[in-house]
Parts: sequence; structure tokens; C-alpha cells
Amino acid sequence: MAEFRLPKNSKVQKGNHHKANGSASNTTTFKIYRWSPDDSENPRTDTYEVDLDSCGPMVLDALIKIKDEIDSTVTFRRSCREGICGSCAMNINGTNTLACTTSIKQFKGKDIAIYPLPHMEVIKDLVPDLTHFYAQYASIKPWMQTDSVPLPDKERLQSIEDREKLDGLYECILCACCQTSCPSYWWNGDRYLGPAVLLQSYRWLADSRDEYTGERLEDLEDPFKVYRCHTIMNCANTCPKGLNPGKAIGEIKKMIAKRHAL
Amino acid sequence: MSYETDLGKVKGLGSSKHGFGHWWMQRMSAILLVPTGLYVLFSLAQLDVFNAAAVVAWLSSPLNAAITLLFAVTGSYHGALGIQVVLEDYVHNHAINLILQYLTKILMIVMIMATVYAIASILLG
Repeated sequence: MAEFRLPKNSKVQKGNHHKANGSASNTTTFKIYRWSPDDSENPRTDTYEVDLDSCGPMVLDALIKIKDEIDSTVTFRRSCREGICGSCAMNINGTNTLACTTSIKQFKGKDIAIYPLPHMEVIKDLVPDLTHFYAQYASIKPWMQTDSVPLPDKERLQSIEDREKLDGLYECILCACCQTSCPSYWWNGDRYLGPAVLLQSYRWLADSRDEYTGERLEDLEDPFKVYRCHTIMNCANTCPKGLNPGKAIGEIKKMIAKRHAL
Repeated sequence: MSYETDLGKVKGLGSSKHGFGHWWMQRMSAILLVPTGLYVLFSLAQLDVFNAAAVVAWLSSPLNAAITLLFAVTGSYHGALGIQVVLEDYVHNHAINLILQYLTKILMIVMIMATVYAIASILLG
């Protein structure tokens, strides 16, 4: 059966509290999920009071401040700090999003709880294991496939209208926020490709220059690869780039229907 | 211990190249259930359903019988398709899944046969 409760050694316990220094007047408390593979302890949530007067505006700024000034063992991924690399995807106050584009202010001084992306194996603290997700991405062959040989001195042309069909698709940064917000992916992530991978898949199905649409659709038509999508739409709700993977999956289903002459 | 690569694991046995039929029929049966369901529901609401003779009289009309039959058959089929999805989603033990899938189909057939038999015996008197 699908597992609805955490296994015993994954139950989250109360952790340590780190107070801000006495002079800080404008503080917010960050509650952060901690787990290390180096000991056999259960995960815990540590709390950190952060002085916002000496901190940048985003949740990622607070995390970096905590790591720099309070507790250097806090582990998380980050890189571009401007919402384009997707590294700092995590669950902030119940929503999968990017820490670098989530302002601290929007939570109006309330505590901010930070967990790793849900239902993924945790490598350490806020770092989930995305190996399977990346392998799923590789499996859909996310590159242009063609048989026709282009003229050596020409690019493969695309009309403005055809290029517009990729809007809302090419912007995906593969942060896995949608993928890990999808209950279908939680229960059947081993076989269901998930919203992010399917959106990417549709990005190539919709590309007028690609010549392998038929083969791509053939590979996708499977009760588990595509049809685990039950249009729950958590994906569109959580996407930090404002994209709609659910709609892309709907378009894939429509293309498969067309193949069946419907 | 297995040295299977991550891509190998994901590709698994490959695509089964089906799944559309199930998805399509689930939607088609849902559409058919709306008018037939409403017709049966509104008709029964006007009847005294605890009075067997009144219900039998209503079902004796060929139109009522046909629509009721369509509703019951489509409903059983649609229900079986739905339960199949729920089992695929949540029951990951292969043996239990197979048994429950099998029982679901049997139940669907029994329900359809019972409806056909009941309505036929009313119509044929």
C-alpha cells in the first residue's frame, strides 16, 4: 500500500533553539528541518531567530545568514539567487517554492517553517536526492530529434507563431517544485513521469522543428507514465515560475487522442 | 545489491503503449452517466420507491427500462474503471492488486448481469 505515515526513524522531533543576540529587535523565527546521514538520529526541527535588520529580504538570504553566523552545519543547495537555476527549491511554510524568490516579509513576522521538497529521499537537511527525477528527465530525450539533414549554411527555421507555442514551456527551470507537490508522484514516482518531466516532454512535442513527435507519443502512452495525472493541479499552484504543467499534460493527452483518430 | 543505472531503472520495461482507451472510456461513460443518471433520479423521486408495484409499473415502459439499463451498465463500467485507477494508485502489493483488480471486474459483470436479468424479467413479464 501507499505509505501515509512516516516510518519510525523518520518521525520529526523537536530540535535546538538558537536565540538572536540580545540587541536584535526585529526578528523572525525560522524552523528548519535537520537530518544528517552521519548519525543514526531521527530528523528534528531546529529553530533560529534571525535579526532581519541585518539580513537580506529573501528566505534564501536568511538561510545564508544562519549558515554564516549561527550554525554552519545547516545544509542546503543554492546558486543563482535570482530564480533561474532552481537549486534552492524547498518547502517553505507548506508550499514548494524557491527560497531566493520568496520574500520574508510576505509571512508578516510569523514563524517560517522550511522543509526539503516533500516525499523525496533526503541526502542532508534541505537537500533532496533528485537522481531519479533527472533520470526521468533524460528518459524523455529532451533534445531536438530529426532525420532530415539541414542545409549546412542554414539554421532550422521556425516561424514566429510556432515559436510562440513554446511560451509557458521553455521557462521551466527543472526545480522539481511541481514534481514533488504532486500526490500521484508521491505514490507512484517510480513509474509516473511527473509534472515537470511531462511539461518538458510537451515542450519537445510542441516544437515545430522536432521530427520525432510520433515516437515521443508512443513512448508516453502508458497507464503509469502519463495517465497517473488525475488533474489535481498542485503543480500549477506551486510552480515558482507561474507555469502550468497540468495543462501541458492535458495537451499530451489530446495529442495521444488524435493519434487514435479521436 | 544492483548495479542497474538510474536511466535503466526509469526506462524499466518501456511503454505499454496503452492507457488511452481506459482514460477515454472513463470520460465517455461519465458523460453518458449525466443525462441517464438525472433521468433515473428525477423519475424515481416522483415515485413511491417503497411501493414495488409502482416501480415495476414505471420500469415496464420500454423507454424507462432502456434508460435505466443504460444507466446501470454504464455506471457499473465507469465504477470499475474508477476502482481500477484507485487500486493502481494505492495498492502496490502485486498479488493483492491483481486479486482486487480481478474481483472488481467480476463485481462489474455480476452487477451488469443482475440489472439485465431484473429489467428483462420485468419487461418480459
